[in-house]
This record gives sequence, structure tokens and C-alpha cells, in this order.
Amino acid sequence: MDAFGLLFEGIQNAATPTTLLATLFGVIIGLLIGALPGLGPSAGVAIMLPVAVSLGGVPALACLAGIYYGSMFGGAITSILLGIPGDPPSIMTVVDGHPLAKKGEAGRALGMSVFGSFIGGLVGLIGLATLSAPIARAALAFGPTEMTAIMVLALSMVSVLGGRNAIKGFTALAIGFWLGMIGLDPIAGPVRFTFGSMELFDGLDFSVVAVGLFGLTAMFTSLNENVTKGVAKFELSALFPRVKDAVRSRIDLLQGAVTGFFVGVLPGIGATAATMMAYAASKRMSKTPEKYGTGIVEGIAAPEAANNSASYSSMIPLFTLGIPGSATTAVMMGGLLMLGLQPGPLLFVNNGDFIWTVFGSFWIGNVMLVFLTLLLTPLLASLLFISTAILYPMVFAIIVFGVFSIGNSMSGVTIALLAGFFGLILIKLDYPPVPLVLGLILGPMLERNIRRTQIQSQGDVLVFVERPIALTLFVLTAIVLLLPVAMKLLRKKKPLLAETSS
Amino acid sequence: MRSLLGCEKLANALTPRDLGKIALLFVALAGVIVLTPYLGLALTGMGFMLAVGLIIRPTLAPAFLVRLLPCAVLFPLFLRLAFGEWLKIPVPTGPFGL
Repeated sequence: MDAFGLLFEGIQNAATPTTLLATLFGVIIGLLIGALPGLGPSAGVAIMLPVAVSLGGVPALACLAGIYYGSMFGGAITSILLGIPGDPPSIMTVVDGHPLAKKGEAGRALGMSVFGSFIGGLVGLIGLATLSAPIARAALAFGPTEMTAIMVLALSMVSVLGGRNAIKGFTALAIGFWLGMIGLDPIAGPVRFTFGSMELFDGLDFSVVAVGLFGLTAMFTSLNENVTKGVAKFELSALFPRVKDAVRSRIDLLQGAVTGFFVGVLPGIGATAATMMAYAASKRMSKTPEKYGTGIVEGIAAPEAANNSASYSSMIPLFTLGIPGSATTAVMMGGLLMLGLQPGPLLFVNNGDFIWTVFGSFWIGNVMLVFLTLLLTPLLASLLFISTAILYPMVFAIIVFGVFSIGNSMSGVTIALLAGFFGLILIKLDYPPVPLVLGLILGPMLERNIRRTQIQSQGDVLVFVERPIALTLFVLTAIVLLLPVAMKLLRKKKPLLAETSS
Repeated sequence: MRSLLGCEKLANALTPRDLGKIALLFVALAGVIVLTPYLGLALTGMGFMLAVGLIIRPTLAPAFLVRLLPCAVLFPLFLRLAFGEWLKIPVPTGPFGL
């Protein structure tokens, strides 16, 4: 059966009351989290991970994904009405969304943001459905050598492209690797870095660390973020997208969705960069670029389509290769592992029905969000005025109950607390936490693959460059690592050349 | 290392007041870890929520307390019900079966 047939079957399977309720719950929580400044999709998915996982199977993943793309929809509401981005990917929506709201056309801006998000989600979902199965089939031919090469490429991209300082990225990655080594050696068996603690024998529970690193840290850094600005006025009837606006922005919508898709699929770049690229491309392609930034619907269409498209495409490497490319997909991978599912090409072979039902629930969630965003916009806007002193105690309580439920032990809360403390230090010293988390997840997998390859080749390291796929991936890794250095050197040389020629 | 040595200027630096609040939040979370086996998660959660609210907004203004107190009492009870009864998690129980 072709991808669309499987997707259609998945939608039918996902239309069960439990999955529909889980999706509804996820998208509402996502909208709330997206609307709150300070809490982004990664923090939201991490905080709700223990709660969602207890739903089990498809509903658990439908709920987690609902939180992810729900927060992408929700982030735009505060950007437009208050000029405060709810999460980083909605920063570009502020540029034209808020000026349009100040002109008294907030409803029109919100309508275009919902429509753009829907179109972006649709394109992302079509790409996810059509590309996932072929990529997974191709990846089935991958042995430990190729998997090692692809993980090295993904980790180098995250560390080099994920932040402004590559050295800090690699330092965070190394810390993640070390944390991933805690517990039993996966091949030989001796215990490593447990400091005599029996609770660390099985290693650090990734989901608990993610709750601390993303959830607690995000809350610690936004304790004082109370909104005092006035909200732009809008009418409920004005929220529906205008056909004229949709037709006028059709190229921007399509361009944004396609840009978001291709940028989102690359590990380490993420939805924020996708929105910036989509906005810049839209402005460059426009006949009236000078109008951008003054409040035009085209300036909302492109970034909104891009961030939702990117949120779906970023799941492709997770589901097909078992490699998360962003913080949010890393937390979602924790959810898959907690459900007893190993993300990667075999997921499509062993759990095909499951995965297509999950994709079907994404489709339902995308449609659900259009209506929910329109209906809940007044509520979401008013939520911003609830003091963090009332809201955060509730979120902290959810974290305590949720983390306890992961291992039915308070030691999880202790680890989350330590991870939160460590995350705070990382953020404040400008070290990106994403490479750390990916090091923690992928480090043990990478180690297993390297050691298996070494056992198979009897210690011959040349095996890594003898296979064509692995060699290509290693060459790409070298390019990713060396390109920024080469660019830097070139930039330094240019002024010198100019000086000597003058 | 440059950041650690103070050679690089850090953006969004924490003010001493923020640091104090975060330190108190750590103490409150540590309190939850220590007290839960004795008081149960619901009762500890009530005290914790109250403490967190007052740490974030250190005021005894009646308008604020009137909103915080019901939240601090009812929300942990709801979570106890949701996790303990609906999701069947063996949540630690303290006095009064909470």
C-alpha cells in the first residue's frame, strides 16, 4: 500500500475515543504552553512526558506530539496580541503580526497565523508520510558501521550548528557522553561512574534528566516573567482567515512550508532558524519588500507555515533513523523508549500499524488545532495575565507527581532537581543543552555501534571508511566540522587582501 | 572555560534576587524529597505549592493569598486523584490517607 493509503488507514485507526481525547488533551496543553512566555515546546513536552506516557501506546505519542505542534500554534498568539513571542520559533511572527494588531487588525493577523500554521502542518505531514517509509527502508540496510557514521554526522551538526559557539556545543556533548556512560557497560558488563549507588546501575533515566534540564530550567529562568503590557483588541468574527489574504499569501505560505520542511529535517538547526529563513526568503521574493515589518499578512504567513512544517519534518530522523535532531524530538524519543519502542528503521517493520496510527493522529491534531486555536484565543490571551506565582506552583506540582510516576521513586525527583540546577548553569554560561541531551541519548548507542563494529572487524579501524555509505557520511561530517573554520579563515583573509591591494 | 573564568560577557545574567529565589526553590524541592515518605505526596505538595507561590511573589497580601491558598490545597488533591486513582500510580500516602 502507498504512503497515502497507509496514512488514511492510520487516520481511521486514530479516530478512537481514547486517541482523540489524548490528542485533544495534548493540543490544548500545547496551546497553553506555547502561549506562555518562557515555556517552549521542549519544556512543555518534557514536563508532560510522565503524564502522557502513562496513557500508553498511540494515545501517549499522540498527546506528546499534540503538545509539540500545539505549542507551535500557541506561540503566535502572544506574538501577535502582545508582541511577546511565546516560544523562540514565533519570534519572526512578532515582526509583522504585532504591528498589524496595533493597526487594529489583530483578528486578521491571528487568522493568517492559524491558516499558515495549518498549511505548514499539512505540507510537513505529507512530507513526513511520504519520506519516512522510503528512508526507513533504505536505513534497514545500515549496519553498525553506517549507524555509527550517521550518528557522528548528526551529533556534529547539532554541536556546530546548534549554537553560536561550537566549542561550547562540543563541551556540552562531551558531558552528555559522560552522563550516558553512567551505569553498566553495555558490552563487557562492569559498572561505570555509579559511585556505589545501586540506583545508578541502570544509568540515568533520560526522561527524568530531560524534565530537569528543559522543564525546571525554563521555569527557573522565567520566574519573574509577568505580563504587564496591554493586549491588542480583536473580535472573534475577525479571527477567521480571509480568502483574499490566503490567495495573496499563497506563494509565501508554500515557500515557508517547504523551507520549514527542509530546514527542520536537518539535525541541530530547528524551527527558529527555519522561520527566519522563510521570512527572509519571503521578503526577498516580494515586489514590495519595504512593507515587511510594518504589518503585512505575508510576513506572518511564511514564518508560521515554516515553524509548523519544521515541527513535523524534525520527526523524520527520529522515527526513521532513531536520531533526534532537536530538543523536543529528543524528549519525544524518551517517550518512545519509555513505551518500550526503539525508534529507527525497524519501527516501521515491527510496529507499522502503530507508526501509521500515530501519523494519523498528527493529521487529526492539525485539523483540531485550527478550530481550537480560533475558539481558545481569548482564553489563551487572558491566561498570560495570571501571575507566575499562581501558575508555576501548579506546574512544579505536576513535575513532582509526574517524575515520581516514572520510576515510582523520589530518587527521580532528586535527579530532575540536579539536572535543573545543571541546566541553569549551562544556560547562564551560554552552553547549549541540546548537545548534552543528544550525547546522553545517542552516546550509549554510538558506543555500542562502535564496539560492535570493532568486534566484527577484530579491531581494524579502517572498516569505518571501507563501506561507501559510511565513508560518504564521514566526509560530510568533516565538511560540517571544517566549513565554519574555513569560512572564518576566508573572512579574516579578505580584509588583509583588500589592505594589500590598496 | 572563558565564561567560567569571566572572560566572556554573559547575557541575561541573574540578579542576586533571582538567585535567592532559585536557591529557595531548590530548598523547597529538597523539602519535598525529604518529607514525602512521612507526609505523602499530596500533603507535601500542598506545602510545596504554597512555598513556591510565596517564593515567587513574597507577599502576604490577602488578594494574593485568597487565590494561592485554594490552588495550593485543591490542585495537589486533584493530582493525587489523577495519578493515584486514574493512572494507578502508587503515590506515597501520608496522614488522613492523602
